[in-house]
Amino acid sequence: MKRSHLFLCLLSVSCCLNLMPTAGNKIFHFGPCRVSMSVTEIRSGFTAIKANIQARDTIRTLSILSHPHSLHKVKPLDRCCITHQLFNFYVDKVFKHCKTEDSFVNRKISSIANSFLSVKRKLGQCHEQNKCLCGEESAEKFKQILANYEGLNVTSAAIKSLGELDILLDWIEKSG
Amino acid sequence: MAPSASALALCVALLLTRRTDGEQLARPTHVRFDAEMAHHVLRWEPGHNPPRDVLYEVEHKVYGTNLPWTAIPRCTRISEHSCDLTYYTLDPARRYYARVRAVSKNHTSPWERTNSFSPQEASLRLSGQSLSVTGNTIHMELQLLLKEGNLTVRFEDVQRHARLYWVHIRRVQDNRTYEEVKTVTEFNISNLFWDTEYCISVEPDVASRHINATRTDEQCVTTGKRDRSAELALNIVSSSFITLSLLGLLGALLVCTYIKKPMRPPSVLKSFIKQSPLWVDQESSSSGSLDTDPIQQLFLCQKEPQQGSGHDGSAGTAQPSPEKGWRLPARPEDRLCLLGTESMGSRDSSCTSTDSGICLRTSSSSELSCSSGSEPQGYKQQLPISDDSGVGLETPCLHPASSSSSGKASLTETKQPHGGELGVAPATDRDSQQDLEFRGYLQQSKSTVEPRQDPAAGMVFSGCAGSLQSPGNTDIVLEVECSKLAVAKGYLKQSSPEHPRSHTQDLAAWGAPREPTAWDFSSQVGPQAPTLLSYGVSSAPLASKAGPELLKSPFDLTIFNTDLLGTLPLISSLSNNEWLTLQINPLSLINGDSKDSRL
Repeated sequence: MKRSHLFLCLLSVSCCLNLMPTAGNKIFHFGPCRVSMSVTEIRSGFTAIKANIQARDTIRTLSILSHPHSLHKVKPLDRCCITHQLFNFYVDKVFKHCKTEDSFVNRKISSIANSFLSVKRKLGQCHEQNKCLCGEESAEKFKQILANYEGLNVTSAAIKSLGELDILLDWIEKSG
Repeated sequence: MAPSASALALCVALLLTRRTDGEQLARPTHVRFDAEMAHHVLRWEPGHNPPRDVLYEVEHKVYGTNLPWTAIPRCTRISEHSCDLTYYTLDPARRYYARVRAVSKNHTSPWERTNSFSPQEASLRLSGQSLSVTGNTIHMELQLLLKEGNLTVRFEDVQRHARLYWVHIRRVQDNRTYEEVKTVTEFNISNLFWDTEYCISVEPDVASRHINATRTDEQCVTTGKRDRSAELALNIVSSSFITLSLLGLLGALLVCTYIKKPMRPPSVLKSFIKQSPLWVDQESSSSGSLDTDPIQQLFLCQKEPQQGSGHDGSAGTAQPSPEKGWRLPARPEDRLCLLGTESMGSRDSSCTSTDSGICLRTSSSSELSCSSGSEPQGYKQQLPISDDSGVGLETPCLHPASSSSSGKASLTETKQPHGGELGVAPATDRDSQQDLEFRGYLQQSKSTVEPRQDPAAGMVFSGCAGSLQSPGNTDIVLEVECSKLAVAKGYLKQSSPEHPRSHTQDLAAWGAPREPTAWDFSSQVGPQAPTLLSYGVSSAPLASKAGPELLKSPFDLTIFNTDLLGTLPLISSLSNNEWLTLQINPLSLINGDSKDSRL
C-alpha cells in the first residue's frame, strides 16, 4: 500500500512538473490576454536559418519592423492588438512566400510557421473574448508596417520580414 | 573630416579597382562579429594570396535606417585582422552590419559583409563577483556593470529578460563540483561543509536564448569552523525541553489514567442493583463508564439466561430481576461474564453452559442466600460450564486467561486445569490456589466446579465461566459460601481478602496486555472481550444473544481474530482502562463481602 502511494505521489509530482512551463515556454501577458509561447523554440529554429535568410535580403536601408514608430514605444494596452495583427500578417503574408531552394531552410520555416499558427489562434481567442482591444495608435502602427511591406515586391518583402523575425521575438519578450 | 577622407579613399579605391579588372585583390574571408558583451569585435581572415602590404578597411551600417555605410576611422587602412566596433553597435534594439575590404596600394578588394549583428547576440559575461563567508554560508554579489574604455554597459540593459546565473561550486579537497541556479545578483550559498575550502565561479545565462557565456574567474574561500559549543548548548536546551514536555505529557496521561472515576453500574442494572444489598457498595464506585458496562453486560447476560431459563421468561432481557440477585455489578466484568454466558447460552438456552460465573441470585432477595429456585437453576446451568463467572474479581475473563497455563488463549479452560486459576489473572503461574481464591465469580452452584465444558470457547467466557476446575478446592469453598444450594448466589467473590492482591495482580496482569502467558491473546481478547460483551450487552437483548453465541462457539480465537481483533486494539485501550478500573473496583469489592459477587 505504501509503495503504491509513493508511486502515485511521484507520478503526480512528475505530472505537475511537466505541466509547469519550461524555461522557454513562457506565459506572455499582452494586456489582459495571456498566451503561453515557447520563444526559445522559435528562436532556435530561426537561428539555424538566420544567416541564410538574411543574406538573401539585400536591401538594408529599409526595415519593415524596425521603423522608428512601428514597434518602439508601444503602449501596454495596444500590445495585444499589434501582436495579434503581426501574427496574422506573418501567417498570411510572409511564410507562404518564403519558399527557397534549400529544403533544410524550408523545413525550418515550416516549423516556425506552425508555432506562429498556434500563437495566432490563441491571440484570436483573446480577441473574441474582447481582451484585445485595438485602439487608434495600434492601428496606426500596423498601417505603417504594412506600408513598409508593400513598398517592396512580394518575395523580397517576405524574405525581409522573415529575416526580421528576431526583431519581432525580441519585442515580444520585452513586452511580455 | 574623417568621413570625407574615407569617402575619398573609397572613390579612389573604386576607380583603381575598375581600372585593374584583371588583377583584383582577394576579398577578406570569414568576416564575422566575435562579440562578447560590451566588446564587439569584428574579425576576418585575409583573402587568397594577399600581397604583403595589404591593409583593410571597415564600414558599418545600421539596418532599417537610411544611413549609408559609415567607415570606421579607427579601422581604416589597418593591417590587423580585427576591429573593435563596440562603440558603434551599442543599441540592443538595433541591428548592425559591417563590411571589410582589403586595400593594397591602389587595389581594393570587393566588400565582404557580415551577417546582421545585434548586441543581444553577444556572448554573456560578468564583470566580477564578490564573496563573503559567514559560518557555513557564502554570500555572493555579482557585478553586472561592464566597462570598456570610457563605455559603461549594463548587463541588464542588453539582456532584459530571463537572466539566470549558474553558480559552480567546487570543493577543493576532492574536486567535487555542483551547480546552483540563481536568478538574482545577490544570493547566499548555504549548507556547505564546515571548515572546507570552496572555489566558486559564476556563469550567466539567458533562458530564452541559446547563447554563449563566459564563466567568471574562480574565487576560493574557506568556510568557518563549527561552533560546537553553541550548537551543543542549543541542542541540550531543546532536547531537555522536549523531554520535559514529553514527561509532563506522560505524567498527565498517567494521572488521568490512574485516577479513575468510580464505576457506576450500567443504567439497566441500576434497578437491580439498587435492590440488592450488594449494590450498595457498587453504587458508590460506579463510574458509569463503559468500563463497567462490559462486566455488567456479562452479568446481565448471565442473568438473562437464567432468568429465561429460570423463572422468568425474561430471557433475553438483560435486566436481571432484582431478586435474582442478579446484581450486575456495574463492573465490566459482569459484562464479560454476561456475554460469555450468552455465547454459551447457545448451548443452553440460557447462559448456562458458560456461566459467566455470575451467580445469579435466584432469590429475589438480594441476599446472597442461595435460594434454590429456578434461579439456582440458571446458575446451575452455568455451573456445568464453569462455576465461576470466570470473571475474576477484576478480570472476569481475565482469569481464564490467566489460567491459561497452557498458554492457550482460551481463558477458562486453561485456567481450570490449574485449579481455579480462573479468575486469577495471568498469574496462572501463580499459585493456583491462591488464585483460586478469587475465581471471579463462582457460580454458587454448589461445587459445580465443573471444568468448563468448552475449553475452546473458553476464551472470554471461559473466563467468565470460570470453570472452576479446581477440584473443589477453593472454588468450592467459595461456592459453599454461597450456601449449599447450588444456587448461584450471584457471584461469589471467591476471593479472600488476600485475593484482592492477587486479583489486583491479576488485573494488573491484565492491564499489561502481554503479560499473561496464555493470555496473550486472551489478554487482548479478554479485556476486549469484556468490552465486546459490553457492547453486546448494551442492548439487553443483544447481550443475551451475544452471550450465547459467543459462548457457543468453542472458544474460537478466530472469532475474535476476525471480529474482535479488529476491535481488539481499540478495545484494548478501552479495556486497559477498564481493567484498571476493575482493579480498583475489585479491591473495593474484596473489602466488601467476600461472598458476594459484588462487583
